[in-house]
Amino acid sequence: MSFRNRLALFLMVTLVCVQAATAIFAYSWLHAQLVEQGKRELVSAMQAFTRQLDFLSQRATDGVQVLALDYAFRSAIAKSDHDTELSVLRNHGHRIGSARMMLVTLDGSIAADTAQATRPGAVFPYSPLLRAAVAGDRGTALVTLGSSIYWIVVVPVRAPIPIAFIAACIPLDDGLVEQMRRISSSPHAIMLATKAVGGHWRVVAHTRGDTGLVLPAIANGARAAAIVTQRESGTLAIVAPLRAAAGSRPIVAVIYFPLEEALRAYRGFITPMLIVLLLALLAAAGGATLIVRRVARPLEALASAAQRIAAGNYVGPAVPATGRDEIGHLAQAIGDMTHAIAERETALTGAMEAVELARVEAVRANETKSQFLANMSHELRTPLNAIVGFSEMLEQQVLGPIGTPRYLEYARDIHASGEHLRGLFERMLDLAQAESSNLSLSREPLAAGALVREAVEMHRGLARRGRVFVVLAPSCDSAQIVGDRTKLRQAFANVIHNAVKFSPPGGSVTVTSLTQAGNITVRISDTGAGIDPALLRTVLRPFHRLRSALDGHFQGAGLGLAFASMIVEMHGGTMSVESGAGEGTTVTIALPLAEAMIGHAA
Amino acid sequence: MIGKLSICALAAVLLARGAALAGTAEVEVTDERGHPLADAVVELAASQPVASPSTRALPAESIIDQRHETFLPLVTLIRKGGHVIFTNNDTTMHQVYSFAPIKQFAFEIDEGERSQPVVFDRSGIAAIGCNIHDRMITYVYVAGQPWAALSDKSGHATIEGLPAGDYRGTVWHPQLPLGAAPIFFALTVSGSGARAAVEVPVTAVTAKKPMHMQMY
Repeated sequence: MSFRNRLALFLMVTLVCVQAATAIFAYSWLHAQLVEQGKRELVSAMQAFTRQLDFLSQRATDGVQVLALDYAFRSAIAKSDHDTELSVLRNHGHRIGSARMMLVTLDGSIAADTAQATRPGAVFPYSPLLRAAVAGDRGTALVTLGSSIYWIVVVPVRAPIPIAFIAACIPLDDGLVEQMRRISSSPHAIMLATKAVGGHWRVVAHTRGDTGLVLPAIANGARAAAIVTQRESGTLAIVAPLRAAAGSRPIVAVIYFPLEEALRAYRGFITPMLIVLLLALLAAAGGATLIVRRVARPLEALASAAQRIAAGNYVGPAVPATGRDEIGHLAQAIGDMTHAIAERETALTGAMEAVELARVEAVRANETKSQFLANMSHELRTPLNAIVGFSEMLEQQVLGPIGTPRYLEYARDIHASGEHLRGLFERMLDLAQAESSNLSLSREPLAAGALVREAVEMHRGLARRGRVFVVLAPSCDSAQIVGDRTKLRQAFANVIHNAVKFSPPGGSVTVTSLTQAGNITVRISDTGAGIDPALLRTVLRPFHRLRSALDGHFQGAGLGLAFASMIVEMHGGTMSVESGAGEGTTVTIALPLAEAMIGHAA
Repeated sequence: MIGKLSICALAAVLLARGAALAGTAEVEVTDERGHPLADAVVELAASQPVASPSTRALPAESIIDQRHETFLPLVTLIRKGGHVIFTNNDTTMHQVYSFAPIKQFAFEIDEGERSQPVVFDRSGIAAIGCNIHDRMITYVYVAGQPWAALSDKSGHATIEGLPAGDYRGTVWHPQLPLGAAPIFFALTVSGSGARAAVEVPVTAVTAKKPMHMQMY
């Protein structure tokens, strides 16, 4: 996934999360607000309802009061005119909507009852109401009779002192409750419930059918008005106990409404809000894409510029500078860096070209030198041959004796010097040929041990003269190598010569050989002064002579080790020198065995 | 004849002596807070037979006036057989009625008029109202005993002419709860009379809180 897509996705996801969190927060806040508001509404609705109840009970009391002050009725009571009492009660009951009217004597027995359900002289069951009424308090309470709730309104009949009581039973039915609900301007449902004999609550009046929703809530009926929230049905309710007559079952009023109802007003708001949210999301997605593109474009330009720079193209289009922000700074930095790299590269290329030029010139000079040396050697060798040949003839007095012995001595010196020069020239020629790759090697099977022994034997005389003890460890005589006998013998001879030459009198040179890993390794160790480690690197180069540790003079032409090293390498071997000042020197020559070479060649 | 005369004479002497020996009972009536209680009726009954004078010590006629839609006085004490005359000094008509067991009546009195005497020949208490003005109420206390008195504003009730002896006293007040028994007390009257203090479990009303019908 590209950086651009990841960034866009991140922005989108962040946006969605923020929006979802906002929506959830808004909804829960709204919900909580509605619940709080609903609770407040319920409390005021309950207050309004109980006020209505009070008002209506006062009105009912007033209605009964009218009868209590009726002179004819009082007269009938005074005369104990039972029939008149009953008919007056019945008549007035119709007027005030009372279901049942009773006349109660001062001692609490029922003197007349329009329901005629009580036997004469039965005791009025709500005697506390009588006491309240005569004390001037409200002689009104709710009672449950059968499956209905009634107001019992008790009013004393005064003539002018109380002579009896009128008790009216006014039903508190659905119609009345609905009427009260309308008057109280509360849109919520109201119901009245009473505790049945079994202990469960039973609805006796209600304004709406869904009473079952809240019935369980009032099972724990509170003493004061209490808010009940039913989560499972999403109903908010207030339950308030009503003033039930002593001896009657508890009665509660419940005002309730489903939260759904409260949320309905907002439901219509949700769809447009969702659409707006969706549009906002789309806009945000577009915005995110634009932002990401804006961020990613210079980054991509930077990336391609960096790739270009990595590929070595510094002259391509410049990195776009995109203002003063971080990316702008980065672009600027990359531009500067490119510039610096380009400059350095140019300088480096120039230097390398110069070096290459110098190298080519050096090689050419070396070739020229080698050619020159070869030519020189050749050119010098011809007259030298004449010098050597004729000096030899003079020395041997081929054409007759030389009169003066000193001349003979001179002739001998001339011959020896000529020989020395000729050997020198030959080595120079070999070296030059080797360096110009013109040296031709013969390839023949050789016994390496014999070759080494021959080289050692050649220097017996020199060693004896220098009083150097040469030890040849007998081994590897059967080891076969392939190569140029003369050149290899010369190489070994050169190394042994050096070892003997640089060993002090009484010193020793040890030559050992062993075969291992397809090679024959010959080690030539001396007990000489050794070589300063700093100079070790140079000893294998031509014309580098070391100051003799013996007498502080250079000896030889500095070609011996260089020649040997070259010959060994031309045979596929290696030659290394180990030494330290005062520790002697060990030269190790490794040459591939014949089998190894065959195997290698195969 | 002589015997008869002598008996009459004896009786007259005894009466005179009784009168001469009569004492005065001073009863202080207070409410439950110890304040003087007016309009309380204190009635004494002799615990042993004494020479019983007639109840003529109590008025035979009383006037109950109607003024500012109020019966005045609140409590009228008359002797058995006495009568009450209602006078109307209001600008409205009144319809006076009583459903009391001792006396039931109803009649109208026009403004400025005076009623016929209403005779109470049974002892007891009659609460009298006005059918036009429900708040109006007055009580007529018809004493069965010759010794009764109404407490004045300072709670004093004075009963004179009491022969020496033991008496059982009752105190009634209109504010006593309906159907409640009167307050009983015992009193011994000697030559110098007797004193008693009775507390009635009511709260005396003041002029600021006048009584009306709903309070009884």
